[in-house]
Amino acid sequence: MELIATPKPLNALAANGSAVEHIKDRSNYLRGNLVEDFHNPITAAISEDNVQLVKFHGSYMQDDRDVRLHRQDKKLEPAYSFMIRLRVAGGDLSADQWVKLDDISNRYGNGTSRITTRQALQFHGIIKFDLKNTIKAMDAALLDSIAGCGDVNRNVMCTPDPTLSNLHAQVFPWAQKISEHLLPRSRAYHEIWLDEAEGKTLVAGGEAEEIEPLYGKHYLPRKFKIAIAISPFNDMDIYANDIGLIAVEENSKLLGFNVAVGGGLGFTFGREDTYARLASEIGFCTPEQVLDVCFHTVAIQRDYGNRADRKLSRFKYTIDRQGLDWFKQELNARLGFDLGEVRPFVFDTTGDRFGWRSTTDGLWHLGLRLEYGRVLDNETHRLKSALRSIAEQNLCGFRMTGNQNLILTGVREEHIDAVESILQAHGYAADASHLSGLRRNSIACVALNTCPQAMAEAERYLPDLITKLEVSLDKHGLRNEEIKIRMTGCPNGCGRSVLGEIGLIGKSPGRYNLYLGASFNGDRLNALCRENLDEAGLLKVLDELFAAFTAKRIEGEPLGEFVTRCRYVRHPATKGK
Amino acid sequence: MLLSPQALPQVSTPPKTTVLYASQTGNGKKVAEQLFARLQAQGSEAVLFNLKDYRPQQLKQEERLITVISTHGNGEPPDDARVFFTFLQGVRVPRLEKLEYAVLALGDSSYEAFCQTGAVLDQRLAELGAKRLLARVDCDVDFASTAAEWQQHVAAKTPAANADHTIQLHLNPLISELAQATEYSAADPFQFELLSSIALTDNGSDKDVLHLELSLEGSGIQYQPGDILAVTVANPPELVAELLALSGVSGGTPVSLKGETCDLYTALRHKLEISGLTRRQLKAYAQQIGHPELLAAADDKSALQDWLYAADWADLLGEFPGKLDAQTLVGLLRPLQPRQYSIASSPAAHPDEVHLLVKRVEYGFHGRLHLGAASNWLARLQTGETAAVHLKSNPHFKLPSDPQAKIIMIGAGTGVAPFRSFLFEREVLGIRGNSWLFFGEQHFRSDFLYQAEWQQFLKTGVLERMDVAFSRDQAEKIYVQHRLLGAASEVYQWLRDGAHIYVCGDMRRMAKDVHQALVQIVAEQGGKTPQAAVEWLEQLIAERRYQRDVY
Repeated sequence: MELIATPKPLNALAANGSAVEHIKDRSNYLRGNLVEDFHNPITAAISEDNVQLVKFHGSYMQDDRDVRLHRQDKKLEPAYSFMIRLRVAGGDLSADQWVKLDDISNRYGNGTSRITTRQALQFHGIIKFDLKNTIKAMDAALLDSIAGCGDVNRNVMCTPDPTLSNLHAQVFPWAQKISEHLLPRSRAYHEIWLDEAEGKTLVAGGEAEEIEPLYGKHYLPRKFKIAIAISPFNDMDIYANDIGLIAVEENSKLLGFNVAVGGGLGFTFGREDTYARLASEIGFCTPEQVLDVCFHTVAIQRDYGNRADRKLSRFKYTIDRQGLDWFKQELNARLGFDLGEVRPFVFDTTGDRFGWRSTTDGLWHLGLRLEYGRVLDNETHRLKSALRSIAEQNLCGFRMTGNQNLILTGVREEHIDAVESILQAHGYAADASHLSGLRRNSIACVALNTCPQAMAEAERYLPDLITKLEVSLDKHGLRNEEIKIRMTGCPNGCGRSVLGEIGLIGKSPGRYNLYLGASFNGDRLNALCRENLDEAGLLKVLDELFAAFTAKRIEGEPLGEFVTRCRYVRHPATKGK
Repeated sequence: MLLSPQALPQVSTPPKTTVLYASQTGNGKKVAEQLFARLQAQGSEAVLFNLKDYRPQQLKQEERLITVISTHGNGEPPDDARVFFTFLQGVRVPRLEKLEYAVLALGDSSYEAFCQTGAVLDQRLAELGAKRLLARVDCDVDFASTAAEWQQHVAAKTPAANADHTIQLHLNPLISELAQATEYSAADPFQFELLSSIALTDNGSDKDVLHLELSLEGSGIQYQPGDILAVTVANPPELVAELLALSGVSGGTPVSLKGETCDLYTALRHKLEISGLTRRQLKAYAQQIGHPELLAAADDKSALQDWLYAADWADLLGEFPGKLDAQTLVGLLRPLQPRQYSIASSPAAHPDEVHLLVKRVEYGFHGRLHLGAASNWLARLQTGETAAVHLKSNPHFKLPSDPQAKIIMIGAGTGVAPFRSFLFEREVLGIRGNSWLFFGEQHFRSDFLYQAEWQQFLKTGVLERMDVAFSRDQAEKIYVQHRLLGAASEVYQWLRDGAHIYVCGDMRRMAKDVHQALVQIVAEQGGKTPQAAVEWLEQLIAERRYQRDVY
């Protein structure tokens, strides 16, 4: 048993801190020289230090990887641009905000926007010189991208579907409250992007405890994620989060939350000491206690997380290194009370529901399936224009799901036809019943051509791959079977591929590792089946699997259970849970 | 290599002939030197001056003045002649009754102000009482034979001295070197091989700018940063076909060109200029076909200006049809000239190579795609193919001889080419800093010519500072002159520190606007009146600290 590490003092640079720890240390609370760098007219890139810092402001520097070599030949630098990710707790946007965001995507972005797997909206292709105006335009829509990325608590997720439960209206506001409670307090964002005058936080030798009471000078060792779900729907994939909260009700009243900690899906090929881990349920807290539970959990990770090796710095490794029991004691001690016993609950599914449904207040809600969250007009449909038209007529609210889909909320009965006809006029189907079960339950990350991490295609390839797999599904009578398939261009986990009944993780262009056997409700990871399959290999292996599944499944058995029962894969010993 | 008068033998036989020259490209110098060599050879007493080195106050002592002078821009004298012209136009200029003179004017008839400087000089000398030894001769871009004929006439009218001088003069090594120099020329070009051709502009650009790398291996061509490469080109076959169809004459019809016979197709494709029109040609054509309206328009300088700028011979024949036989058509056309490009490479950094930056010219006009002859010819050239080039030295666009001197380089579009040459040269020479580049184009993302190379120069310190203006990336148009004005105090400080300033690119707008911005900077930062600022800059031009290569 390793000795329990001593906590890092709030504002001391970790003794063996990684390069990023040093960048944070000298950044003056996330300012760096971003202002100057964003004015440098010779390059559309920014310095390495600032690449790290701008993440805390919600943005990643990227480049169009499709044209890298082509531009090199032309003696041009890579086509650098910025992705910016809004903070939208619970994925909730008004119609007015939707219109303004649509303007931003047209004016500053690449003409599309994208709903992420964590209910945020992001824009790609923003040129450095336009980023400030983009952020100002977001501000005019009462939105920001603070902590959209970076070593802080990220967008707080909450199941967005008001029809899921009567409890929903009581639970949903907590996403916003938690998000605000854990927000960085530095005014860097406001000064740099919104021209706020430099405040007291810049006073030399200022007390870090006042500037960043939670995070201190060095923020967290790594990103931190929180999600809230309402049983029996695990559409938030709460076990993939550092903190997963499961709402518990009694007589239609929110009693509190079961708390699970230490989830995280990313790992690194070739690093055996890295792994995906699902969150462990550790107890129950009341709504009044939940902000403190989150705050202190984040603080423990701040103090004890690994700051030397960023591959091992997520909270899950802290938990496994220090022990779950130690963590519970530490948390209880900091809270000044003990968490309650985990209350019973069940999860059935991680999927979204599509089509129209109503709530008891007489309003209607439409679950729209989007292809990997991409809001755009293309040859087959004009979804983007349709949604804009609906928003301009103020027919509904917009809620982004954790599965890259969209719910049009609060539609009055007399407006249903208007919404339907707008969608129809733009060539978009209002429900997803015409799609195969595999396609309805698919997720893909952005990957190429913009994500710097990607080793293979995902969003641009999965639709074609599914079309080819549908031939097999038809052959084996599985077209309408709900099968969860997820593809990512790397093992970092944005598309939660390790929670797919079929998981595909890119190794190199055109080659994927195949993982099988996650549970349909999101409480069991999949396991490696085959490595480095090309398309032909994938189609062959999966065709054989579908054949066996049809022949040998138990009535109603999901694919993930079938492959586990029949030992297609060997699940590793479960960590934590 | 300048011939200094002091190096020449001192003789005393009057009357003395003074040969003056001033031109931007070196053509005037060459013609003057040839004349001077001829005068020396026949034993005439003569001295040769670049106008920049000539004291105009000396004019009243002169008896015979032979001047070779070119015209630039919109009728402006070459930089080296500015002081001389200011003197001539001024109130203190003496009467020149005892002076005999001759003027050879160099120009380009595609410009409205063809040979204007020579004409102004010729007229002014006459006004001051001087007598013409010969009528002024105007040369177009194909000046060689006209100039040779003029040299003969001048020599014939210049008295020879006794034989002693002749013997002496033949010993002058500079003269013999001049006489024997074998250079590549339009008539005797070097065949280069195209090593590579890439489009520097990317998707989203409104233009197509090519970077060409050519092999000079075996040519012996020695160039300096700032020099110019002239490329022998051919007209686009589409245009030749169009013109033949409109003229109704067969391409196989034999025509006579300067005493040689070839078929009309060959003449139109390889020998004659058809992609542009001059007002003179318009007039000659109107007379030929008997078209009074066109003739009137040709005579009215305010008429058809935009049309003339864009139209080619197919437009002329299409819009103003008339009957012409093949020989008449050929007689109206100017010889196809080699096209000149500022060299973008450095002899030190790119041995045996020369790089060109070429904007491919293509535009729609009156319902037909017009292709620039030279740029499209170069763009269609395949790797490994050869074409004919010769070098044009550009003595008025040279790095300072003092390696410590600061340089400010201002280039828009392909005008940035010589600055790439400058910076590569300075990199090899180990010169760091003291360099400032202003670059302008339309779009940052697609048109930032040589972006990665400038970034590298900035990183290594070869380039100290760079300011860029991308005119179409924002609502308001921003050009290099705005960046200059934005950095006014630093620009002025650099000039005060002795910086040399270079401007390369479009003459009609950029060079004019940049000059205006410099005047404003010097006036505002130096507390001068606009007139004093203009004079201050004139002084820089006279000192060759303000050099321009504009087209």
